[in-house]
Amino acid sequence: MLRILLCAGLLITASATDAVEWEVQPGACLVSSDDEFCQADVEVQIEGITPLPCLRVNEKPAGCFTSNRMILPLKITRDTRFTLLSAEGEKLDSFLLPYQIIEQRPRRRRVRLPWSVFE
Amino acid sequence: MKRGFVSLLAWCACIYSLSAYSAGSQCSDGQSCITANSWQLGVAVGIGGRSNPLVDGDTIPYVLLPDIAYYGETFYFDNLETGVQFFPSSNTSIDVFVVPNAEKANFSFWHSANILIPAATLSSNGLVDKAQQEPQRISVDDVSSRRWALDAGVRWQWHNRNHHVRLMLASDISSVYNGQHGALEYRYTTSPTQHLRIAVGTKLLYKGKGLSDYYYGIHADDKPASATVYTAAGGMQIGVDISALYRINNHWRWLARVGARRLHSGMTDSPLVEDNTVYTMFAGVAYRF
Repeated sequence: MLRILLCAGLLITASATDAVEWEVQPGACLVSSDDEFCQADVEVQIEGITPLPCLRVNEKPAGCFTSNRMILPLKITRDTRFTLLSAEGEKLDSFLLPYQIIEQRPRRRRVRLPWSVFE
Repeated sequence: MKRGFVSLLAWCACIYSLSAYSAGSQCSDGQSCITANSWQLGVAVGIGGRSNPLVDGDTIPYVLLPDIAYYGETFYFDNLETGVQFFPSSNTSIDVFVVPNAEKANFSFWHSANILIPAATLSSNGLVDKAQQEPQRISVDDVSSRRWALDAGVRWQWHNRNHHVRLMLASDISSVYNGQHGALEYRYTTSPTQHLRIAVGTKLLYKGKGLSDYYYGIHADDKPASATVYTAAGGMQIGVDISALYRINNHWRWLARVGARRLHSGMTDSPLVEDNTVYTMFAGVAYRF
């Protein structure tokens, strides 16, 4: 079941010697139970990176940029890592898009053991 | 009276401080959790049963186990138990509840008296010497029916990571057996893998005289074959159990449980009772709706 996809993107700035600016939107997948997932077009934007880099999603190749913007239709069922690679395959930066289960209502401990009706 | 009141105040203060200390603790997935204001429905299918300690009492079969629970903010209904839970999101909680008493179940299921010769008949058929050497037994068929009772009780619970302690006291409010019973339980739960949960529990049970005598005593209205009258005394019982639950996916689980409970002498000395231990076993697959 499709649920909430947080639309607040995160601006990622690399801390390495070469400054890399890129943005992943949305920045988190929020669901209310673990049988739910996010289905979304995730937008990855880069700024001032030349030559244009490539992208891996959960360690799998997702293609190389042909402009400063890439749209990825993704079904997010777990934490998803985006890794930006240079044209030579060198890792430039990575970003973890978290899969988070949020509870609108409090969870309670059951008083009796499940399936203990006859005990 | 004054001393009792002071003790009660001290106990309440202790409970409150423990609750305040641990307030905000949430139920984690490693425990049996339910979202407030929701139902949890399930059914388990498998093989198992609970042994019946009564003479001619057959094992109570566990083939289809329903699991029905509803929890509100403080109210709950959980497998026939209805109650209100104070400090429900804390490590320490207090439950006030009503629940049917389970002792009647030993008298409710079918038994083998129509096939096997009751032991009481043997002792009246000329086997006098043997009967004198062995304790006299009376079949559950030969006594009057016992009634279901409704208990009201209070339970204190304490959780800390894998540890769970419960103290429960309950009393008959249906004027059936006019007595009390209680239990002190400790359970250790561990999750060796993400999907497997194993729990080991031990409990000390108190069965009051009123309960023991109503269900397991022999009285004039039982019209026993001989002039036997037995008054069952209260006492302490001890039990252990181990359960395993493997979560296959969001709906399906493997479920296994074994347990044993040693009965107290007030029960085992009864002519109605032939076994001193009650065994419980179930293994099967469970579906959560």
